[in-house]
Amino acid sequence: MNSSGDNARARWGFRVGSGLAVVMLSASLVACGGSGAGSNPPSAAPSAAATTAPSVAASLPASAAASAPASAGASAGSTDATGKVAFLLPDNTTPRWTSQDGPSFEKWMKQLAPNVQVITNVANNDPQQQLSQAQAAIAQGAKVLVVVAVDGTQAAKIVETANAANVPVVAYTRQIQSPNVKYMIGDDPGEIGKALGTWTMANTKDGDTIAVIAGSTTDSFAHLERDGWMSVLKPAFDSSSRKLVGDVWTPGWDPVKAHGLMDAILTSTQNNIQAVLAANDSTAEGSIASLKTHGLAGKIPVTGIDATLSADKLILQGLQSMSVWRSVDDEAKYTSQIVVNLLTGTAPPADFFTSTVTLGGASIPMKAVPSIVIDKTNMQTLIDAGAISKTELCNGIPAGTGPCN
Amino acid sequence: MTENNVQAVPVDDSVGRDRAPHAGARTSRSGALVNWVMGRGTAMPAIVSLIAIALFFQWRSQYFLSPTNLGNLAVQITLVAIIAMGEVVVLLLGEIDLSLGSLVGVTAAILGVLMANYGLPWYLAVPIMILCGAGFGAFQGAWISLLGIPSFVVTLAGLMAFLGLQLWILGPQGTMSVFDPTIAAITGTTLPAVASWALAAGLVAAILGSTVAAIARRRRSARALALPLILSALALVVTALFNASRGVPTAFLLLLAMLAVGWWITERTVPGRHLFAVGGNAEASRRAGLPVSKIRLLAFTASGMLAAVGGLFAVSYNGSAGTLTGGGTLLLEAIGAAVIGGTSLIGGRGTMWSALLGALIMGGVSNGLDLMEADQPVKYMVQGAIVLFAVSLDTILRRRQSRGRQPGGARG
Repeated sequence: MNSSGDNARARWGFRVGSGLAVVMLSASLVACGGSGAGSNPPSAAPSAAATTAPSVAASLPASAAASAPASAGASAGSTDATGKVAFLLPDNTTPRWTSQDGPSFEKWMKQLAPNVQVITNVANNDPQQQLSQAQAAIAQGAKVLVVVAVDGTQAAKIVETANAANVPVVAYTRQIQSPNVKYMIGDDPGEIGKALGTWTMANTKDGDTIAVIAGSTTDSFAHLERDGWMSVLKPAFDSSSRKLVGDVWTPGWDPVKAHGLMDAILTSTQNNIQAVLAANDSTAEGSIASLKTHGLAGKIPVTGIDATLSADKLILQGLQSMSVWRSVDDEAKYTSQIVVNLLTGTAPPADFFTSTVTLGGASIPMKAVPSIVIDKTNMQTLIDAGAISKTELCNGIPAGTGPCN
Repeated sequence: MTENNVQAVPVDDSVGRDRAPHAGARTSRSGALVNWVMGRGTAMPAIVSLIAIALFFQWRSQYFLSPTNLGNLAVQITLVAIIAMGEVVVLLLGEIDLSLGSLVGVTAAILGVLMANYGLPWYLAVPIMILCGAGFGAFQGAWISLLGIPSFVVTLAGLMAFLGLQLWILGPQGTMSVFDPTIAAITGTTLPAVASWALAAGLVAAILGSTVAAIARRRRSARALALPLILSALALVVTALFNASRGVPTAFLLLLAMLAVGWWITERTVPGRHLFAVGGNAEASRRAGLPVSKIRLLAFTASGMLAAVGGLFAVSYNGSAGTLTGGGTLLLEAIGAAVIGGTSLIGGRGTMWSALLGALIMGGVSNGLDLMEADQPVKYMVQGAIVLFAVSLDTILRRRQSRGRQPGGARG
C-alpha cells in the first residue's frame, strides 16, 4: 500500500525519532538515576534501634528482652523459632511502608528470630491484589500474617482465609474489621486526634476561629482522628469560646485539594482565622501554601502529624507549628516480638498490651505505639532516632534554627 | 499501522461536518486573535455552562464572584488547564495520553531533587526538567508513531512506569521541599496594578486594532467588531476585578500566554494544521503526503513538555514535590476539561482554549462546592453530573448547529 517514498520516509523517521527518543530518555534516566541514588538516605539504620524509649524494655516478652534494648549481636537473645512470616504492605506511594516499616520489621525479625524467613509483599493499593498475596503467602507456608490493610473492611476476607488455614493475623497500623484478628499493633488515631485538639486549644484563646481540615473521608484513620479532636474541641465550639470553620475532608489527603479548601475558607471568613487544625502533614502543607498567598503563613498556628521531612522543614521555618511523630522502628519491634510469640506458641507478657480495640464487634488486644509532639525545640529527637537525616533537614534552613548549626 | 483510524473516520460523519466550518475559518487571515470563537463556535456551549455555574454559585455563596475568590480560582485552575492543553494536542490527533499525571509527578520529582539535593539554581533545573518531560513524551511518541502501538496502551504503560520512576527518584523521604523564591513566585505572586493595566490596554489595542484594520481592508464586515469589543471589555473587567483584590495572578497570565502560543501553533502553523488533518482522517493525510509519523511524534513530545510545565506549576503551588504530586484525579480532570471545553475525543476538532474553559468549569464547580462547605460525596456526584451535562449540552448544540448550517456551508 505504501509507496517506496513513504516507506523510506517512515524508516528515516523511525531511525531519527527512536534515536532521539532513546538519547533523550537515557540522558534523563542518567540524570535522574544519579539523583535518585543520591536522595536515598540510609533508612531505618540499625543504629537507630538503641534510641527507643527506655520504658519499652519492661514490656518485652521474656524471649526477646535480652536483645532488644541494645544493638548488640543478633545471636544474643534470639529464639530458635523457625518458619515463615508474611508482611503485607498496602502501597508504594506512601514512602514509609517500603522504606521504613519493611526494613525495620526485617531487621527486628533477624535479631529476634534469625531462622525465620520474612516474605514482604506490596499490594498496589488494591484489596484484591492484597488478598491474592495473602493466599500466596499461606501457600508458601507462612505461619503468621502481618497485614497493613489496603481496605479495612475488605481485608476481613484475608483474616477469614488465614484462619481457615490456622494462620493468625496481626493487624499493623490499620484496623481490619474482623473479630478473628489476633492482635493489633499501631497508633491510636483517637489519641493522636485528641493530642491535636488539646494542642490547638492550648494555642488559641477565647473567641478565636479554628479552621479544621480533616483527612481523607475514605480512610478510617481520618474519621477516628477527627472524633478524637472533636471530643476535645466540641465543648469549646458549643460554648462559643472557639468558632469552627471548614471542618472539611481532603480527598486522598492531597495537598493540592487542601490548598483549594483553605483558599475557600479564607475567602468566606475574609482571612479571619486564628489557627489551622490540619489532619496531617500533607494537608498542613497545602494549607500553608494557601496561607502564604493570603499573607497569614507563619502568623497563625498550624498542626500536622507524621513529622515528614518537608513538614519538619516547614516547622523550622516557622510556617508549621507542630507535628505528631510515632516511631516506626518501635512499631516494627513490638510487631516482631508478638510474631515470635505466635511462632513459638508462647503467650506475650500480660503488660505487653496497652488497650483493646473493637474490630468486627470483638475486643482485640492492642499495643499502641506512643506518639510525641514534635516542634522546633525537640526536633533533635527525630535525628537521634534516625527518622530523618540532619543534612537533609538542614538543607536550605538558616543555621542556628532548631538542631541546624 | 493506522488501521484503527482508517476504520474510525468513515463511521463518524459528524467529524466531517464539523470540520467544514473550521476550514472556512482558516481562509480568513484577519482578526487572528478572535478567530477561535468566530470560526467555529466550538467554545460557545462551554461558555454557556460556565456562566450558568458562576450564577448558581454566586447565588449560593456570596463570595464566588468576589475578587479574592476569582484570584484563588485563577491560580487553582492553572495546573489542570496546562495538562488539558497537552491532552488537547493529542486529542486533536484522535489519540489520548494517560501518562500526563505521572509525567507531572516525575518531572516535579526531578526538579525537586535537582534543586533540593543538588542545589542547582532554577534557571538550570527548570530547563532540565522541561527537557526530561519532552524526552519522556518523545519516547512514548516513538512507540506510538513508529511502531503503531495504540496510544492508549503506550501511555497506560507510561502512567505506571513513570509513577514508578517518580517514587524511585523521590526515595524514602517521599517529599522534596522547594523553597526557591523564583519557583514560588510562579503561582504565589501577582502583577503590580500598573503593569496589569498596561498589559490589558495593550491587549485591547491589539484586538481592536487588528479587527479595525481588517474591516478597513474590507476583509471583514463591520459586524465583526462585536466579538472583539466583548473580548476587550472582558479583559478590562477581569483586570479590574483582580486588581480589586490581590492583583492579576502571575500564574494565570503565564497560562494565558501559553494558551495564546499553543493556539497560534495549532491553528496558524503548518505542523499545527497537520494535527487537525491527521486527526480528521489519518489515511487520507498519509496519502496526501503528510508526515503522519512525525506529527504524532511531535504531538506526544509537546504533551510531555506541557506535563513538565505542569510539574513546575505543581511544585510552585505547594512548595514541594511529593509522591502525591500529579496523582489523584488530575489526569481525569484534565481529560474532562479538554472534552468539556469542546475538544472531540475522536480527533480533528477542538481548540487550545477548550483547556481553559474546561478547567474553569471543573475548577469553578470544585471551588464553589468548597465555598459551600459541601460534603465530599456530594462533591463527587455534582462534579460527575456537571461533566455529563456540559458535554451533553455541547453535543446537542453542535448537532442542531450543524443541521441548521448544512445547506449554507461554512460561516465566518
